[in-house]
Amino acid sequence: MHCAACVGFLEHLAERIDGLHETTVDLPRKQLHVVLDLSALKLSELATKLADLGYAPAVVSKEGTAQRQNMRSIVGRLAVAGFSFGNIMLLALADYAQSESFASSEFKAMFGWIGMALAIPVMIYSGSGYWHSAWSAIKDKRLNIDVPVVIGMITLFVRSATEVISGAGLGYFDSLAGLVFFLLIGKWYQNHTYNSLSHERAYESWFPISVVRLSKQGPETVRIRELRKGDRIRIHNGEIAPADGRIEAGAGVMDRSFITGESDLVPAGAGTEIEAGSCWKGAVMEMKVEAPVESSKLTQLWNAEAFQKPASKELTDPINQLSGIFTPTILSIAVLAAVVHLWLGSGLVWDAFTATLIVACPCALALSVPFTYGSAMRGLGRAGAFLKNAMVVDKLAQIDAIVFDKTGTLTHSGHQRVEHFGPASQPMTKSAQRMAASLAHSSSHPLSRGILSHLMALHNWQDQDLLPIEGFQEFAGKGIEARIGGQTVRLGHAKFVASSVDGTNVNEVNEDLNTAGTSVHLAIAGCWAGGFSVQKPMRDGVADELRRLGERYELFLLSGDGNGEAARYASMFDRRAMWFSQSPADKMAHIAAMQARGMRVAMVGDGLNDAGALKQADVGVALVEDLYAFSPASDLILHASSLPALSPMLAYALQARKTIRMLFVVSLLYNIIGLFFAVQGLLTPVVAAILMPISSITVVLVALLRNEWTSWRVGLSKPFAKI
Amino acid sequence: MGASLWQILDHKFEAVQVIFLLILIGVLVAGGFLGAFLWALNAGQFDDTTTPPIRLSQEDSAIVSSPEERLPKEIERK
Repeated sequence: MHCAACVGFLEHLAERIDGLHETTVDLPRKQLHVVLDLSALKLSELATKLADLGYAPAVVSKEGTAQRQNMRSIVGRLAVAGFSFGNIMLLALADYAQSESFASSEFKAMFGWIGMALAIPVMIYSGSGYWHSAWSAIKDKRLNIDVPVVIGMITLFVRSATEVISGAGLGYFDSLAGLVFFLLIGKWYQNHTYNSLSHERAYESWFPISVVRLSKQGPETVRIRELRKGDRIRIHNGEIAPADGRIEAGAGVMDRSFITGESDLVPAGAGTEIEAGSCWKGAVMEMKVEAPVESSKLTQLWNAEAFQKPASKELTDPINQLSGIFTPTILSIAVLAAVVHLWLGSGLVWDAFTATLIVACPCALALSVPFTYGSAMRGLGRAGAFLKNAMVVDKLAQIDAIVFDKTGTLTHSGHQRVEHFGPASQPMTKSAQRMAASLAHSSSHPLSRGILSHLMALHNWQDQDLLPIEGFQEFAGKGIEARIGGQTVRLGHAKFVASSVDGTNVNEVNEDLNTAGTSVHLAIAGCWAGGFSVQKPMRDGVADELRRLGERYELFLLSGDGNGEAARYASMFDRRAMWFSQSPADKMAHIAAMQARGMRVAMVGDGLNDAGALKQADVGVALVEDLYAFSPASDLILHASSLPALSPMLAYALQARKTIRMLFVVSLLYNIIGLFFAVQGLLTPVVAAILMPISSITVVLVALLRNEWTSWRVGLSKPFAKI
Repeated sequence: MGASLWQILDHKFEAVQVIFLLILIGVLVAGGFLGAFLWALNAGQFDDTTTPPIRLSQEDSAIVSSPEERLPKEIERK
């Protein structure tokens, strides 16, 4: 769905499809709201019809409603603040002009009271978020950026109220409303950025919406919400268990990466307990549901403890780091100014003290992060990279080493060129091929899939042409094994397969069948039956990209495959920086070792098998072909076709960090100018009212413009992938 | 000239009082508009500002600003 014509077409669908009453399109969010009669038209039928029309639907997260509420709340508060800001300033114009006749008229008092009245909803309603945030920070004995904001708000209100009540002037209510107004603009923009990226929608789509239930009438497909305790369901290889339960039939391995964030492969069989969210790897399994699933439990996995990086690894938000020193510094300057005035006897003690607290408000500072990193997020999103949150930009800018997984990341996960050959230069027998295919069918490893699709296509086999297998086992990093017709069949690495072949000295095994591609060996009933050579072409543009990256960063290759393809990658990686036959735990350990040496590591991997490594790295990049399926352990989801754009993206993030530094200096400059007036007691309402908007607008403009400019400069502006 | 205007106004006491009244009414009217905006916001009219304009240029399109307006009255909104 991407244009106006789609709107017209989709909104008239009800005329063509029975049972469909109304359809409404939400174009920016690419959503279709439907009102339908479920007795006349099932949801699955509608989905099929939509797919046939070219609008294949994806599952939408329920969190969309919370997002909308949140946005409405921010806009509401912004509206009230803006309303008050504008009107108070309008009334204060006469005061700015410092006209004698106004100063002595009745209007002065009245305008002052109206100003106060308008400022009260701003304090109570618009500013409420800041009160909560500052209070919870103080309770935690730390200072965040909202603490000086609240100090500023209180000082502004108290000082202005005393001026109005005593008739001394109009106070600074315009600055108060203006402060809240600009801060809320920052919050709005941040929300707007997060909402426009499809992150939330994507992860929930990974989870199954329906499953095969075995009822008395036979297998039927039901929505997972309809599962009840005691139901028996069938799970295939690679599917995710939608509910907690116990396995009744079938043996294999549970991959619990979704639950624990570790590539946690647990062998399981009849009687084993299985948790919702586990990915099943093995022959077809039947399980009994013990606790019906709430989809909310599955969605919580994204935010679960297991996937939060440990606090020590979180590079802290630069703004909050700064606020640790900002607040005490401001308070000290204010007190110092007050003391000096007291000593000088100038009568400006109260003036100087309050003015300092007012003008030092970190409005410009607080706007710099949402606008810089927020617009950087949007820029990266347009280029095909979706970040978990704005702080990932900061982390990206600090990376100095990048680790790549090989299969599925640097190489296409499809498109494999497979050759097979038998032992002693004879072709592999057809029965051996059939056994290999039957065994490979139960595995989701890219090599198995490649071999399977090659053989199926070659002989035009269907699923029923394959042989039944028992005792399927997958040995991570080594191979797979099962019994077919009473014979043990093994498929995998040379050493793994050789150990099942009688009379072979494992150490003498020649790993490579030929120099190109990865070798996968086959052994049947203790005899070597030949092997397959699987060549995986690298993705387009990746070779050049790796060379470009190699100039700035240290590159490493960690692959679960054997070293058959080492020569191919030697031009892009240093020989000592490539490791093969890595298990998921090995990859994690490597990254941890690099971090121990002080490196900031980004890991680019393709999914569940890399979950642990992605979590361990400072920035975990999950490479996906399909934006609707990825690992929760990642900070960044990168569309596969955008991999060649990695170096411009990293350069862009680096520039964004520079922009933040620049903006810190700019806001500091404004603060110093303001303080110059404030400590002398010279801060009139008009000066305050001018400084704040100007500093805020400067920060926003510089952030947005610089991001646009650097995006063009690093070559990111042309989009690499459709969102 | 500003000083003389005030002098004139000072004499016309009622005229000055009118300005008070005008300003107060002005603020109230403006407040009314703010209220209308907040109501529209809560009714979901600002959730999507891209699609309604497209709808306008289509033939036979219902003029709605949010999907909630299309729900038949009997259905309870969640």
